[in-house]
Amino acid sequence: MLQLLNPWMLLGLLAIAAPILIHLLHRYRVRSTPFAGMRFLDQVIVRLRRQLRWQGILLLLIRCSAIAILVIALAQPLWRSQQDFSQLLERQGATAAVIVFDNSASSRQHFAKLQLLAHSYINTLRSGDAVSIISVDQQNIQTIYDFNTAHAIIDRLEHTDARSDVAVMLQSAELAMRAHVNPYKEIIVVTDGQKSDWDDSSLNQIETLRDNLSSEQNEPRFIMLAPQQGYQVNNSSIRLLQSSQQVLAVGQRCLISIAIQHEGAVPEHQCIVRIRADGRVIDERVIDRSADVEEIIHCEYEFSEAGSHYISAELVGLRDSIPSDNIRYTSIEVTKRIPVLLIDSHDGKQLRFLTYALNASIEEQSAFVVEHANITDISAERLAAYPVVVLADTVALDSQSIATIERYVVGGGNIIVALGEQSQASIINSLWSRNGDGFLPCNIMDAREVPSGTLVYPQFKQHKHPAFATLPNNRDELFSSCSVSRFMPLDVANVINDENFNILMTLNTGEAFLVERHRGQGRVLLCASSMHIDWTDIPSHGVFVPWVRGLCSYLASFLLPPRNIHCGESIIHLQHESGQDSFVDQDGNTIEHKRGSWQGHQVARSETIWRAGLYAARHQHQRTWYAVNVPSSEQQIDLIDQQWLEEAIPQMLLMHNEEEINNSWGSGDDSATALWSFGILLCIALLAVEMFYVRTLTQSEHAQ
Amino acid sequence: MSLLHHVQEDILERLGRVGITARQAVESILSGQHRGMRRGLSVEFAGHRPYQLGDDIRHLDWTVFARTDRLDVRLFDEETRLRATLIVDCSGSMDYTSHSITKLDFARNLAAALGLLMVGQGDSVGLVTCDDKIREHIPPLSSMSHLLNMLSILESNRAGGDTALGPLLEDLAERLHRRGLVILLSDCIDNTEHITKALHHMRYRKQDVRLIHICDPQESQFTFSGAHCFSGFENEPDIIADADRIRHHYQQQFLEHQQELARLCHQSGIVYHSCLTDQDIVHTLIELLNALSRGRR
Repeated sequence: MLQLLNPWMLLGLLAIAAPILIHLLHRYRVRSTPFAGMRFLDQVIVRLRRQLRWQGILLLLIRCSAIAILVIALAQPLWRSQQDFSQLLERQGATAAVIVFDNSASSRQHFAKLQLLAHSYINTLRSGDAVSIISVDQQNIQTIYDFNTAHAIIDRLEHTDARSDVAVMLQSAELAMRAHVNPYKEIIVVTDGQKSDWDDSSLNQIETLRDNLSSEQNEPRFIMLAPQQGYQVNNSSIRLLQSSQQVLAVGQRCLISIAIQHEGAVPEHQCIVRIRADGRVIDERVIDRSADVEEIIHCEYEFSEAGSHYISAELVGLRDSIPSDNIRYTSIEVTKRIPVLLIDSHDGKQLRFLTYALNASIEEQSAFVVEHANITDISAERLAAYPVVVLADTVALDSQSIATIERYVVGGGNIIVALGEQSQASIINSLWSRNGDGFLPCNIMDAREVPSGTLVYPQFKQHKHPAFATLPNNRDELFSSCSVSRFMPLDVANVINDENFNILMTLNTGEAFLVERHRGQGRVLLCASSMHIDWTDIPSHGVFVPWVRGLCSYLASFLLPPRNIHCGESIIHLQHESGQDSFVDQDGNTIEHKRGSWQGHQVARSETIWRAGLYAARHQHQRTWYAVNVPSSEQQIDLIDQQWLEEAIPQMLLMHNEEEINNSWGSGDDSATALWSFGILLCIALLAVEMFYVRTLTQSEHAQ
Repeated sequence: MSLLHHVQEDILERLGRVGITARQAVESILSGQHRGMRRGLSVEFAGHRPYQLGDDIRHLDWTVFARTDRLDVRLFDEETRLRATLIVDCSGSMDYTSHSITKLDFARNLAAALGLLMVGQGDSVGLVTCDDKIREHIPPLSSMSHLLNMLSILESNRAGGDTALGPLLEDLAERLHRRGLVILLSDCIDNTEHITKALHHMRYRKQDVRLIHICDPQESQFTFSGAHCFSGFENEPDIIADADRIRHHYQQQFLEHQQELARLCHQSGIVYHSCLTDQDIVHTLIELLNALSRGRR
């Protein structure tokens, strides 16, 4: 069936009137010439009348046909065998196309289909069009004019286990599009159709992209190519594998939490969760699979040797949509002791209970090594040796010490600040807090006495916070018998909306008691009261020891640089002094890396890791394990449907298969181009015939 | 300038200056005319005179010499002079020209020049002007006053009317009782068979007939370009045509007409000569006289 891409060009058929008018005017605009040989002329005319008339009609037909064919050719006729032209998309000129190919972890099941869709789209491009291809792992903004190269790039693409960062890919698409010179723009998102990929930043980026690429003449066209909806979804995943602490002392038990999620049409049978530590099976659970239910299991394990270890949890014997999320790893560093530095301006009176709590009892092997220091001993080198520092009821620090502490926190250090008799709100606010610019989480107010007869005690605001992971389960009752007689209210009004600020505990009066704020790579905990029995009787209660140990363990549990990362990130490893480190994957393949610096440390930085698994940084026989996992956002299966798309991205067209693509644009090898060029050629041929015919009729006369 | 002066000064003076070949041609035709006429049956004997040095010995009367042993030369009457009739076609088509001189002007000049040459030799010249009918018919006389009158009439005639040479020449042939020379100057835009049939009739009436076909170069070449509305001189309907597209066919048509005319003239023993109005009239006259003389011999 014939289809015209530019039907309005058919208005040009009116130009057929031109040769007819010229023909008619030619008859009436003749020169009057007296001539004597009319007898011969009349004989000629009588003899040639029929021939001349047909010659005139034939010339007129040739000229009219040439114009008609030229006009039809300019209307870009397409010959199609398909019957459905309802979605035909018009390309009015050279097109700049950017293919955003989502080869994230969730695309694995339909990767071949995605490639097919991309190939089909490239087939619709015509000579003069240009294309750029951007994927999760290859954000190359090269402009490609040779479509065979584009096909080859699509063929070479591999699925990754990384997160689908559509916003970033769209930013790259904008850069790629700016390198194009063709006026008509098409952004093609080839995706497996996961709704979770389109977060607010992605949707905003689409709007930004549209605004930036729009011009007076042309609007960019957005098309989403996603496999047909309604395919069988069946995915079970280890959504979470978490150790209560990433840094443990030898002999310290770590609590391992595993969250398992089943989605879609899950077959109703059981499956096995196998948990390994350093490759040895430490636990195995049989769980029932039921759809859309997250199941959490716990286990404990105790590492007997210091060093880098890992724990893995694997769903065994499953065939589901995303196999790469059936196993998950976490890296754990085991040390002999966790060093804690206690800084006090007095004789250590304020820290006495804290020291007792952290130090081991006679029958217990302590996980902490407690050191004391005076406020005059604060130096960067000293602080760097301790993952946790406690500042208790400290008088004013000099500016150099404050700057040292701030650098320590930003670089990954952790501090617990407890207030007390020596604490002066005005000095602390102006030097430590500085309305949120300093290392202290928030401003404090002057100390307040609790009226006698009034019971004020702390309570948890975030029960499940990892800092309280070691506390017993009856957490609401743990502090109910404690009382706080004096405290310095925390002014959280200015920082309550800061995403790095958390209120972990409050008083029963509603005022903040224990707050946390992330600052750079480090964390600061601020307690509104003292760690001494003068202000609160908490140290005299049994909860004090696990509470304090939990806080210190929590703060010391963060490995820096991080050893548990997601696909799409690089492994950063603190380099050994000899610099002979290397990276290998599970199969022993070497991973390329570069030297660099991180937070002032010499590090080795690997190339971006696109496959989930366990990686190791090796130095001689020593290994440091790095766990690279599939981002949890990729483990959800929530497919885009037309309704959602129309509401979220109304300007985005959705196509599901090659047939739709071919129907919309026509494939590159269809007859559209042939008809266009054929029309032009036919027009030129007709004009040549006309010229030859006129020449034959006229100039041959002169020759004779 | 009158026709007489024009012909005398521009044509005959130049004719006198042309080479010996042309001059001889003129004399040849004229002397040939005399000889031919004297040998004819209608020659009337006038008497004898003694032979003088320089006389042609062919004119000696051998009978008288045998009887009387005297050399006498035979003498003939003036009637033995040439009687030429110039027929000039004055139809509308003769008024056409594609440059400066019309076909009628060309015919006038030719006729005047021939008349002057003939009268100068003592021959009788008559004139017939015609279109589709005979306008003027002046019988041949050899006096100069007659010639002047004839030239005046020729000059005053204007082109007009249709061409119908056939019946006209038939009519004229009936009027010519004595042997003579008929020279027809026409563009012959008429039925060739009618023309040649009439001229053949003249031949039958013992007239020596010459046909001088006068053409305009545009008539033969048809060098018009583009579309034209052609209008005739003899009340023909207008014809609109693209000259470029019909040129070839027109040229063929004209050539066929010319060839047919020449063929029919040749069949009837009529000397045919074609000339173009853009040619030099003196050269045309010389060629014409040559042709006439060849035809005569």
